[in-house]
Amino acid sequence: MKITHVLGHNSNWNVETYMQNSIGDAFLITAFTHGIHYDAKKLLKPILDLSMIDLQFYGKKESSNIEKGKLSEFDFHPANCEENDVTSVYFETCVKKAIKFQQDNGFKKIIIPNFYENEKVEDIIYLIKTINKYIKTLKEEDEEYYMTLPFANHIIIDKEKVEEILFACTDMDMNFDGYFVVCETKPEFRKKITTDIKVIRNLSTVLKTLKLQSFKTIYAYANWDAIIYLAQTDIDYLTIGSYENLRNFDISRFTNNSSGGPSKGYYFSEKLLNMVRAEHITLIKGTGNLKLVKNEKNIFSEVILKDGYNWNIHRPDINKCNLLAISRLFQEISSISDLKRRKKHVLSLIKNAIEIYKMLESKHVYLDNESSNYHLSVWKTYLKTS
Amino acid sequence: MPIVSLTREFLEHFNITECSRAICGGQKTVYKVRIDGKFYALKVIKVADERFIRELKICEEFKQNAGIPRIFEVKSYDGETVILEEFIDGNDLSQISGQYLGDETKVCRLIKEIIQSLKPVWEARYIHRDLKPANIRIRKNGTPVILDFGIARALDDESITVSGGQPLTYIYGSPEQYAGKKSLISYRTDFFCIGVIAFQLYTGKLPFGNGREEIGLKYKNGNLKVSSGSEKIDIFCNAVFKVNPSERPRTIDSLIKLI
Repeated sequence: MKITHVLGHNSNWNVETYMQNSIGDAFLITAFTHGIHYDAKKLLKPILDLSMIDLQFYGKKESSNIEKGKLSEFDFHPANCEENDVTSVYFETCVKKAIKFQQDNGFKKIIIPNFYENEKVEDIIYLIKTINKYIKTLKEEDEEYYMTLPFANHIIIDKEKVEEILFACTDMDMNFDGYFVVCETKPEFRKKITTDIKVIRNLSTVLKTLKLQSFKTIYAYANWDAIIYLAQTDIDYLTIGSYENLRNFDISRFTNNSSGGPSKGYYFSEKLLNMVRAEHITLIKGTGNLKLVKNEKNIFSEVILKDGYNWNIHRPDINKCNLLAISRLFQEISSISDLKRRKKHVLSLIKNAIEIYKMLESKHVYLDNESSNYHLSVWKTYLKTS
Repeated sequence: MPIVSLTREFLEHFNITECSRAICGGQKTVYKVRIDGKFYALKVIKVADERFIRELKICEEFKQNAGIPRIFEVKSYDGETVILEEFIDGNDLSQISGQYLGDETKVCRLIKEIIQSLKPVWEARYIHRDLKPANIRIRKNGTPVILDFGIARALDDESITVSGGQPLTYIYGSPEQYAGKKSLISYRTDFFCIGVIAFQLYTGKLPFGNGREEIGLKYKNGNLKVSSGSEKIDIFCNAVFKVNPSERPRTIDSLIKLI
């Protein structure tokens, strides 16, 4: 498994952690942030050979409404469509040009863009089949083609729709080397990750089935809940990202203007298997329980947990701490090749995290909202029953 | 050999010197006939519908395939369609299934031969949809011939059955056929049916029961793991006995490797 940095806002943190701290193995350039001149950026030049690019066709024409995004810089992006509707013929042409763009720019792992579709599975399948026939004619030996599978929340919760997509994707005639899986998990308000068992079960089925059928998989815009999927299957490329929008696929990012708002930031605790709000870290620290949640052997953690540290979501150390902790967790899990043992290991991590939550409560440290244990029992149930 | 059902004029028209009726189905009657000293299967079709045309098309397309019967002649006679087809000297697999009971090597060899016969058919995007022992004839030398492509379907064609592929013989049908999910019918539907045949040949039992309701319930529950007593047969069967077709082997070569 290759840990892949999603390069969005403040990509320098990702590149620095790769260069200086050996975090990650590959990069995913986002067209939204970096635009057509990504290759002219000094920061990205040294890592271009290790990079893929997501041209992010998800929002189709609606992406042109976004003020900050750079998707319209790509003349073949459907955001530039002059007609009211993006027809399937127009979209197919955009996709073919997107493939050529990546070939011309030396990308060896080509991410074939796809659109976000809420209901009509047949439209997704039609495009997959059409592009599959097309790539058969242009495959080069040193290139790998990954078809994007964007699962809208309405689709991922419906196992029959998921099977229809998987059925098409795993047909013997498929020429893709793999799939670039994107999933709208839609966590509840004041939660960072989903607890919807249908999402967990079906997304796990997607990743397991594709791997079972010998396709390579890239799980993009993943959050740390990817450990549940990783517990059951090998994922070839798993992304890590600093900001929320790089760790949680949300179609509204490609259709509306949005911003994250102020925050003191979060601390990902490998022991709690959760992101803990900065305010809660202060609480834990103040009650003398920091040892229970503190990440070991993490230089960034040492810095940010010092007394008097000024927490702010835009500070690099906080983000680097989380990148290191999450990537380490992913690597530790994926290093266990035997899947039965791996699952058992993840279950033991969950069990330990539940125990730590109990210990905190026994010491009258009560964590709420995102910081609370809202997810572990669902994970445990899922893994025990799958 | 007694002469049955066919008129003297018919026999003379086709130079038939011997004739016996083999099978009488809804749409067709099959006779074993001798013409110029050679035996043939002669099919008389009352209504030459889409199914019949499709079967002919498949047999014609794969006439070099020893696992599919050869068709020599198609004629009209007195408003009926008459097909002169290769006569397979041997038995239906359903008649001799006991010979395979507990014999892992023999079962695996036969299953592999069935898959190899169907490989070019699947690659041409046709599916049989009604694989069962009664549709597999075993030649005297032990090699199989797949019969009755009557409900076979080209994957890009419209379905010829209203329900979208409900199998004619439900005990060999796949979960997607039971559920009437037309969009999920594919060559992997045939993979499932071959698994049922393999299990039955080796154990003498059907893997999911004999009753439609019993089988349907098992398919609904989802866990189709079986144990036949042979590790090799189990590996094959458990790979194809998946409710989701997407989880069954993706390629024909990967299926062959399992047996």
